[in-house]
Amino acid sequence: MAVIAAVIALAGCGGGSSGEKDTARNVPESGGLREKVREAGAPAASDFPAVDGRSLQQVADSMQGGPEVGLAGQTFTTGDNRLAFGVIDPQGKFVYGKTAVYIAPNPSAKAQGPFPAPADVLVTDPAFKSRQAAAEGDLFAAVYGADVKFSKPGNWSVLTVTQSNGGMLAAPTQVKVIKPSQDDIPAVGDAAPKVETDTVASAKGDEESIDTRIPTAPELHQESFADVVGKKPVALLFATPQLCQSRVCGPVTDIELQMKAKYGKDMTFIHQEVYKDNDPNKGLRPPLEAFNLKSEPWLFVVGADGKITQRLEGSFGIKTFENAIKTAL
Amino acid sequence: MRRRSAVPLLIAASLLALPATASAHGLVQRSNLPIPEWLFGWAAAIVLVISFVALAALWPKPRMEAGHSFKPIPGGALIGSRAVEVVCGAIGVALLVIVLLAGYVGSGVALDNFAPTFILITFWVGLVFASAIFGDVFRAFSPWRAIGRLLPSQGLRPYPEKLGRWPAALGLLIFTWIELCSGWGEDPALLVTAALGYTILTLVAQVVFGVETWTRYGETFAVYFNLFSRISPFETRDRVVGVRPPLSGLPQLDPVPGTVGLLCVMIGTVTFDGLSQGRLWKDLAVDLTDVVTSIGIPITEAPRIVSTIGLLLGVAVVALFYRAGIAGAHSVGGGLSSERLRRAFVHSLVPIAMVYVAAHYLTFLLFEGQAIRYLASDPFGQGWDLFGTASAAIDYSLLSQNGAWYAQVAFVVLGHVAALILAHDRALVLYDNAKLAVRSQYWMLAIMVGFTTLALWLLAQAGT
Repeated sequence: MAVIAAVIALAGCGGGSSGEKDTARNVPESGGLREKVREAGAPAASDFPAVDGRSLQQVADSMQGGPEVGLAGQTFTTGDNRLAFGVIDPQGKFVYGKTAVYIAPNPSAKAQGPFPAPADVLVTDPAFKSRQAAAEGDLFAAVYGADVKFSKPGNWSVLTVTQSNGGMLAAPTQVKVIKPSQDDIPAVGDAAPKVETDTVASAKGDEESIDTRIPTAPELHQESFADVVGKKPVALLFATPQLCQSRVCGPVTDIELQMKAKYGKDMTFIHQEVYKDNDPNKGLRPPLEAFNLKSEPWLFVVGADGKITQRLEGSFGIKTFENAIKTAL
Repeated sequence: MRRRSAVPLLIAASLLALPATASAHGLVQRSNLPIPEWLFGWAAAIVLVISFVALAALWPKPRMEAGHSFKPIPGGALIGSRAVEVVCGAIGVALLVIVLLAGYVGSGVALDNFAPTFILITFWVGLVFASAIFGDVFRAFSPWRAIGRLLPSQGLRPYPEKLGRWPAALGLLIFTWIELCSGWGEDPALLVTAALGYTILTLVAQVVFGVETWTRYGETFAVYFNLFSRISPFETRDRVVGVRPPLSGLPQLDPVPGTVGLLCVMIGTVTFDGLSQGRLWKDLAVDLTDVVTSIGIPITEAPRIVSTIGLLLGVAVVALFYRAGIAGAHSVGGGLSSERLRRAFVHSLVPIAMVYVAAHYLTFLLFEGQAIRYLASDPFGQGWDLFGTASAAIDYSLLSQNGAWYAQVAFVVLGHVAALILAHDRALVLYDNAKLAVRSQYWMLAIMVGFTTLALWLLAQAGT
């Protein structure tokens, strides 16, 4: 009886999974991966060389090359942006270490940065790990995310720098930046389109037709977005666990499940598959078209008033997802 | 000196978000089987026919009906002692309490709650395997029997004979409905409320009819696991655990009313579960849902109703199939009524029920069953790590897709051969004419081949 009383007391004290945990706890320890990811989670600008008026090319020339950047998103507008990416070495393995980003309108222009890019863990608690995530040969354990500001539209050169084995590994890439007025995807502050999303009921019980996660997550397909938006906070995730066509999309549906376990009483969590009939050749499902989406995954967090409080494109880890949720609570 | 290489910035943007390539996360599916799946069905049927012929030629006299040998194992008296039984019962009660508490105070998400995984995998599937291998372990661990023996009353009324095992059959049907149709498995609190309700019902029934009587005929899980335990080479006799020939517990099964119904529920519900994972049923279910909604039932309830229809159909199909086979056996003569034949051969359905469970839920137990490791470390969702396994991941490489398929086919074939042996042995007792006995078994062979091909077809369906 004492045990029962203690458990009930614990539950009453707000136990559950509400306590802050080390998000890297589920990253495998083998090869020092967990420690590397932990370290990569807390970079500071002072860990990286100052630009000191150098051009981006000059900054790059002071680094070692080799890896490539896998961008997790493709929608960038002038102003503040989240630049999410993975760093992949020449052997195709993900590289983890303290990372920062430098940007410039072109390689010979004066570099801006460094902007720290903390690694955000993608490995969920075991209970929420799909078979897809468990079957990954090369685990995508964390995605880097830097807050950067693009001052004008056009192509921008980007240099990511990752500390590795005492050196600095640099990887270049380029992004296209557009004006906010050219971005037709609903933005923060906009009213979310009231769109019907797929539910177990609308699929007439055929869960696999509306969810490519293995096993399916019917918990995320109980309510249609149109039925709850404007009534309570909603996290609407567009993702396709099985048909994701990038190495860096990450197990975001698994993360959404984990978030539901923690915030499910305060927010409705919805997952929407991407392709009609789960066939990439058949085009996008209507809810994605209503949001003008051309890539996946996307997360829209919507407040009880029906207005978007956060949107995230590409891969996003546990911390970023959780912070996004908090914008609507 | 650090190697330095140029970092060319003027490269094309490495936008990896949507390349025109195939899926980056494709799972390894069952592939490259040396022969097509349908051929496995034919091969299994041929094995059964050969077994049938061999039995007819080499098994002319009953061997399993007149009792069986029993040899105590070292330490058998200790394992079967009352003290061990009390300890096991206490463990069972503790687990029941933990499950109930976990359902109410743990995570509201089933995946993250100890109760659903424990009830639907560890207990429901795991104990089937444990019973078939180690004998009637649930009898020792049953929390309801343990609590019941502490109750003051040991039976207020005699148990009505006509009820037989019907309460267990009904209970099993309701349990499988909860598992497969209700959706309650997604709601831990609702699931354990059902468990609590069952506990209360069981304790009341034990007070009314007596603990041992209700355990023997009415308590669903005790009856269910006891049937499988009769396959096991281990038996407890007079509080001593010993060994016996495998399957030899089955001919001693008393075919009271409801036993045939129970076996049909056992096989039929697994049949539906297998069918429901295939495209055939999914497409049919969509059409049925349209029919159900067209008569005014809300779309939110329609899938549950359609699943319920499927579940009942699964049981009905199995029952009709068995009835048809028995009608065939009846047609060969011998002066035995259909009812007597139905009851006489029902024990041969137990290995079939066993292999249906074993084949269908093998990977479920091996893979999803591993979840109990991390859930047990934190059963109430308090952030505990009692056993240091809270971060243990499921190892899906434990068994390959092809390996699972081979194991499933082996289970199915072995189980049906076992069923043939049991039926053949029983026929030799029932019919005083050996030729008549063999002729009656043509029909049992048809039943076994039918169940075998159905099982393999269901497994292939689930793999599509």
